[in-house]
Amino acid sequence: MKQPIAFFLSICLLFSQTFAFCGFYVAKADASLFNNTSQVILARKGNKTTVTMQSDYEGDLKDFAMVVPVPEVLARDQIRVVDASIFEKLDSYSGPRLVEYYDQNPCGHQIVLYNMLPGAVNVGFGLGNAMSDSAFGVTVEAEYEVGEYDILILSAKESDGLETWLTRNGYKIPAKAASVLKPYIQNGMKFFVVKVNLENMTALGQQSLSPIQLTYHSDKFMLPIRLGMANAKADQDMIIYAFSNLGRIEPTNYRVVDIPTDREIPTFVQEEFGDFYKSLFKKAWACEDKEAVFTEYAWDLSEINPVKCDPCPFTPPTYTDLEEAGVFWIKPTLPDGSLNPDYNRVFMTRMHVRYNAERFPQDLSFQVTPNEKRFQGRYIITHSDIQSTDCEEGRPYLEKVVERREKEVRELRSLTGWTVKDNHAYLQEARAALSKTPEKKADKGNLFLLFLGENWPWGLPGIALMLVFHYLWSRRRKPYKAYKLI
Amino acid sequence: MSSTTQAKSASPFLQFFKQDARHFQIVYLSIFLIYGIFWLGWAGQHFESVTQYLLIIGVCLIAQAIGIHFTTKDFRGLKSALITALGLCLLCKANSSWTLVLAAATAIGGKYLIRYKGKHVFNPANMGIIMAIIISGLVNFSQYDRFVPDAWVSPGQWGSDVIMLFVLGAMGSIVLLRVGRLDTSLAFIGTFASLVILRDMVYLGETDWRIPFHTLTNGSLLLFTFFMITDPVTTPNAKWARIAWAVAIAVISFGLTIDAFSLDVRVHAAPIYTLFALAPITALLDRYFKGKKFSWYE
Repeated sequence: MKQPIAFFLSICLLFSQTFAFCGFYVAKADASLFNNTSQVILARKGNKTTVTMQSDYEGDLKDFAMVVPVPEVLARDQIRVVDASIFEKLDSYSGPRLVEYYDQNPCGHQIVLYNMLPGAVNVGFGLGNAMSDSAFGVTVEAEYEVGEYDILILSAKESDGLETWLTRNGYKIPAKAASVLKPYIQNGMKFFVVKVNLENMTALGQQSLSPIQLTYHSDKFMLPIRLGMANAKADQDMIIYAFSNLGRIEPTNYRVVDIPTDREIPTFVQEEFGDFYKSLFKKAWACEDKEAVFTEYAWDLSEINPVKCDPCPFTPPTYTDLEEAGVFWIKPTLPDGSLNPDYNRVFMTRMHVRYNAERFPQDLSFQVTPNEKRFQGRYIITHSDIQSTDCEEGRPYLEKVVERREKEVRELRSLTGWTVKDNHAYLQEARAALSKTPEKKADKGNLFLLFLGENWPWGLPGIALMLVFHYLWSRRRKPYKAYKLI
Repeated sequence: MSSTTQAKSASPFLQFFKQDARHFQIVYLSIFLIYGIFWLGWAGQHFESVTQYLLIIGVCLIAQAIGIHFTTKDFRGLKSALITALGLCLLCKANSSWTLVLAAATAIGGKYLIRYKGKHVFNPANMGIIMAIIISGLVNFSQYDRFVPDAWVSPGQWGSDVIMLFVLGAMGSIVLLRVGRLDTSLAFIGTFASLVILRDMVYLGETDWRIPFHTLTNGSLLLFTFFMITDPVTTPNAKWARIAWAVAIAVISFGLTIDAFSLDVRVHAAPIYTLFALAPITALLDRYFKGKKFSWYE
């Protein structure tokens, strides 16, 4: 049975008696997944923010519950459910990509292939639970039914009251949660509490839970991650797809680093690209002291920009997709009928953060910057053609292949720390092909070649210069001191 | 200082180096920049930004050289321009290289054009950043119909680390003890830290000390504290005026970043904006509180 995983915004509490599901790992047959991964879409313009949270909770739906701190009491039209496929689209489009190139045959076959592999790492994701009257200082500010969910918006005067209210209403709260709730209450934040309405779910014919999208106005541009860490021991991963009408979105209270990109790696990595990227991320994360946020993708997605990636692993999201994702400023015209100046301004940033309470004590706080620098996590494999290399160009080509493969293997080791047994076979294949190819006869007996290598003609001006210098030196008026001594 | 005995013991280079506190400042700021480029990956993976850094340094030095040529003819002032340039490299970011040229030119230009009683009013690097944001925003206004600046400050680019507090603090203190401006730094960071701790630990009721510490060990804040706010020429001359001024900057900066008040605009990198806004008060404070005017050559 697949287990649900911890979700970032949620308190991992349970509605009924079953134990907490946080911290499990979902492995799909075709792709490797990051453990404990959640996904969220942010769209920000001015002080208006849209947050979309995905849930692929697969436990018993009556146990599902989630608590999210929000800055204001949301009205019914500020909450909606969206189609879950939007996350897949954004993930496939912006994920780290493996690009494949084919060498031309050195002896004539002119086959140029260029291919794009679906290299995006699928991301599993999880969901914790939470859920839960005014005797405890808790006020139910609003109550809605949205899609398959029953939603409550609570405001609280003190954390103990909220904790008691949640417990009385059937929610189990982790021990540390109350101390985490207090700062949110003091900051005047409200609590968005969700559980599944099973009758509505059946009526709607829903098989899985829909992502929930919230829109609100606040000068705070942040993601509350502390509740999710309240009872999680393991590190959690989060993929953030952030959209702005200016440029990149970056965290203001944590460091942001671009993931290593444009690296050439051995071809055998193709079969295990998911594992490769997982190891690469882990190593990069450790190198940055486990406290940086990584940018995996940054690009201008507006319609005016024809190149949406280079190359694209999947179809770039359309404006319809972006509107589904909560990008609210891309209508062609404004309500008053005038042209929308922001129509052609959508910039996407994909961030990947692996966090724990030790290194990420504060919630993630963001700012929209004018930074329009494009970025994509891109890894390159090059297929060599070492079968029919019996022509004159064959040997130099094979020498290059051997050199390139050695470099690729070194790169793989430095990126992932892998010492793979495939390395040996991979290098040996090229070396064997090289040793089978005869050396050129003309090369033998050339003394210059022996000392200066292939580029020996370039040595000639050097030798000429030395002779000129020697001549000038010997014509100096003053004899060299060493002669005097003798 | 007994220069005769020192001349015998120390090498002439060391002797020269110790003469001017700005030498220390240049070395430290260069170390920070190199650390940022190579360890924190600021330049990206293809070192595009390195040319931008060189551009900032070049424009600052040229602008200062022109300024000196028409005024004092004392070319030792180029050191100040280098400090300003390094400060800009460490704090100011922009899409376009023209914006950075603008930042560098206004930083130095402001020194010569906006003066009061023989002192320039605005901290040069601070002025450069703010002007780059304002002017590029106004230039883009025609295109986007609203204020879209091309320059920005990344307060998170250093990360937060307790080691940074010690290293930046120690290096800063060496410079500041020489120029006698440690009081400004301590007043600023002391006030700011107290307010942050009061908010987090008392008002919000946090139980974990790492939360205020994470804010206070932010590299950008420490750099500002020890290397920007302390510029001896643009701080008030009198000691108590200086301390009051630093406390005011801390209080206003904190107000701009605070969660508890519902402000419409949440200002990241708030101390930089506050310093710019409060710079003209220095002139006013100098008028009422007499103190010795600072000179680098004493």
